[in-house]
Amino acid sequence: MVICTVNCSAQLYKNEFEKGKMLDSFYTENLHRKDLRESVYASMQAEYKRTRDNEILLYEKFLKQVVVAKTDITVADNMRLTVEDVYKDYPNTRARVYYFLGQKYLHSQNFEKAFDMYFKVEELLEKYTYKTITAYSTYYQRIGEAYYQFRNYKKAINYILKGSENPLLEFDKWEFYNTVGLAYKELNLLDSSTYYFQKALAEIKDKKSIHATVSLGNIGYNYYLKNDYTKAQPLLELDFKNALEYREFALAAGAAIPLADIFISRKEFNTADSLLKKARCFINVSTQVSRLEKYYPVMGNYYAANKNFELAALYKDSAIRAIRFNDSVFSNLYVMHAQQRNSLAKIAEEQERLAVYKKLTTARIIGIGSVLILCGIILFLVLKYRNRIKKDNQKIEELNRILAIRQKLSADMHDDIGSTLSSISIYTHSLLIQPQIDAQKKVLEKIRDNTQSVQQNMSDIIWSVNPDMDNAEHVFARMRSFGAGITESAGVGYVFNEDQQLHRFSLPMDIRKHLYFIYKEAINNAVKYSGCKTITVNIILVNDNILSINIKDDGKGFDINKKPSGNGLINMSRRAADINAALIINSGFGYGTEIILKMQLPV
Amino acid sequence: MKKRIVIFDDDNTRRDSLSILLNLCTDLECVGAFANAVNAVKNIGETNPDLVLMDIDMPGTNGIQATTEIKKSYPGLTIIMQTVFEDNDYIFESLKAGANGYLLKQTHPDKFLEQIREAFIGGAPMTGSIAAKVLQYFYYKPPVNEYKLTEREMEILKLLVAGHSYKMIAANSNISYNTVCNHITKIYHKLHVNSASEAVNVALTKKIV
Repeated sequence: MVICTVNCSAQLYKNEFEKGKMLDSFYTENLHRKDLRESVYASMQAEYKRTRDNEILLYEKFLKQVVVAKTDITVADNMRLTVEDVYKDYPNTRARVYYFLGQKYLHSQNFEKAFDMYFKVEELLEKYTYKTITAYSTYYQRIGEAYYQFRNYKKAINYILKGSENPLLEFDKWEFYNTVGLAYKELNLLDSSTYYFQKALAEIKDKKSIHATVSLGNIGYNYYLKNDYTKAQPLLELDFKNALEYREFALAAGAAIPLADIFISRKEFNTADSLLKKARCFINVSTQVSRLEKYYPVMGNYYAANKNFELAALYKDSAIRAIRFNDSVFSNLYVMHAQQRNSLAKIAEEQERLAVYKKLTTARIIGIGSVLILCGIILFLVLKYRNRIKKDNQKIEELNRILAIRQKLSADMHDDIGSTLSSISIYTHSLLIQPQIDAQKKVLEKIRDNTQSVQQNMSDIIWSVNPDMDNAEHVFARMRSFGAGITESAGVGYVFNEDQQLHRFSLPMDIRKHLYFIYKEAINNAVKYSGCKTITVNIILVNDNILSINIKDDGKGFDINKKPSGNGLINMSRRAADINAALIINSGFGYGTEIILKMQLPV
Repeated sequence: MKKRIVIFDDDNTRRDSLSILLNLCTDLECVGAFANAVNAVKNIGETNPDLVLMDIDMPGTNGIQATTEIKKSYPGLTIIMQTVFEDNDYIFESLKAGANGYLLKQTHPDKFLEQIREAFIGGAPMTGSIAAKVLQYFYYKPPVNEYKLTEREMEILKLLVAGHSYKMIAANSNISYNTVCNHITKIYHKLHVNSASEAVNVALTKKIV
């Protein structure tokens, strides 16, 4: 059962076109053949049972409604209001319903509603094409004809031609050619018009049929329009005769009027008069009052030819009014419709533009938004960065201020201490100038020397933290100066050699300090304890990155194995270790003392 | 005849100790000790010294201003500046103002007296850091012709900068110690003249005639 259903629906889908055609034929039968209606309904029920296709069921209901609506306009109105809901899944059926309603309204002269319905059909035709809307050609043809009736001949031709586009579709070729011919005639393109009329005629097998008559009449009328009366007359007479036979009085009137005009031109007034009287009669009977538009001018001609100018003028007036009336009836609606379509189109366009604009705006908003957000983020980061920099700067300023205060304090302190110490030294010296006992002298000398030493140390400390003294050159200059001072006072010889290549190096604060103090200690020791004659200092660059300071004295030397009594040597070792320098002490009795300090220079 | 020395220093202890020391010397005597240099010129007029020991850092009129004032009235008077800190821009400024030299307060009293005695005979003490400043000064402000430094003078300054003592300079340059002192004196002189003429120039340019 399941398999069957699947199969069936697949079949159904493939045969949607077939289904469409089937429904079309049911419609036609239902509409025109009262006798076949019941069998139509039965067939539809059978189909529905077979396929379970809801559309068939709904279509059947519709066909029944059609029968009722033919006579009852309210049913039609009802259908109009509910069509969207009921048939919303079935565009083909919807098109059919709209088309039926269009035809209905047209016949009941409710032109507005008719065109409304046709418009809906048009929409569906454009949206779904002939694949779904199987009566494609018919609809276009009929709508084209409606336009023809409403004098939009270009559109009429357009639509009818559209309906004939697809060769797969069947359409009434005669109708097609005939209407196109008529439209061209109205557009005064008589050659194209005649061409199509002849094509239409070619389609007719039975030359006596009403269609043949119409075609002949149309061709004849074209000749008449071209003032080729000789060719026109026989055709028109044939048309007139056949029309009467078929009791198609409107057609007869249509043939009679130009015929009458021909006879007027030949001054065969009696024939013309009788024709015209018949024509008037036929027009009344057929209720195709629009034909009066053609009738009045010829009447005018008749009276003009008979020198009854008053009547002629009256008839011409009537003609004008008839034309105007037809125009107004038809063209108002036409204008309205055109306007409506226009507005709708405009609205659709506006909506589309709005949608696009909205999309664009949304895109723009998103774009600008993200750009702004990005800017915001960047701004935020920049501000944060700047803030941090400001904070850092503030910190640095703060530290600098503290440093400045500290330096000022230490300067003041040194100044104060220095002054006092030097005063102490001077006082002591003053005593020493005066005669003293040896013991006192010794003590005084110690006091003086100690104060001097402290002052010197203070000065050294200040120098060692001076950032301007970074360069190796400055360090060695101070070393040389210190050595010179102390050796000159002690009467010891002093040689100081330095390698100029070292000048490109800089010695940071702690290294500078340690080196200098080691050097000071070494020189002091040499001067104080070695009893030497000369102290030689060599400062050299080894392997392009190692500093070597060599302090040699030619004094008595000492036993390096013995534990040192003072802290001097211990301090030297400690300082050397602090700056990752190697300290080598060579000494021997009689040999003198050599102190070598080796250090890797910072890049 | 004892040489007359005057002291300007805001530190009581220093004034006291120095004056005692000086007075103990047989050849020197302290004839005046002043706490500030506000009335320096007047003080000098009253005491008539041969040498002035001027502290740089004093309240009110500082040592540099005082030196300028004194040199106006007593251009021949020897003024030796005193300072605790050797690396001091003020020292250089005071030298430009006309001081004949400077001594650090921490100088050993022996050396101190020695240098004062040398100052009487024209000696002028200078150390490495100040020598560097002198060199820089002459480099950046090219003076009028005769007041440019000679090559020898520049050499000596460079040696001073490198930490050589006067004795070492004499040994290295094969000249006597005295010659070295003379050179230094000449350098000072040029410094004074240059700075003086510079001062004059400045005054002229600023004057609205």
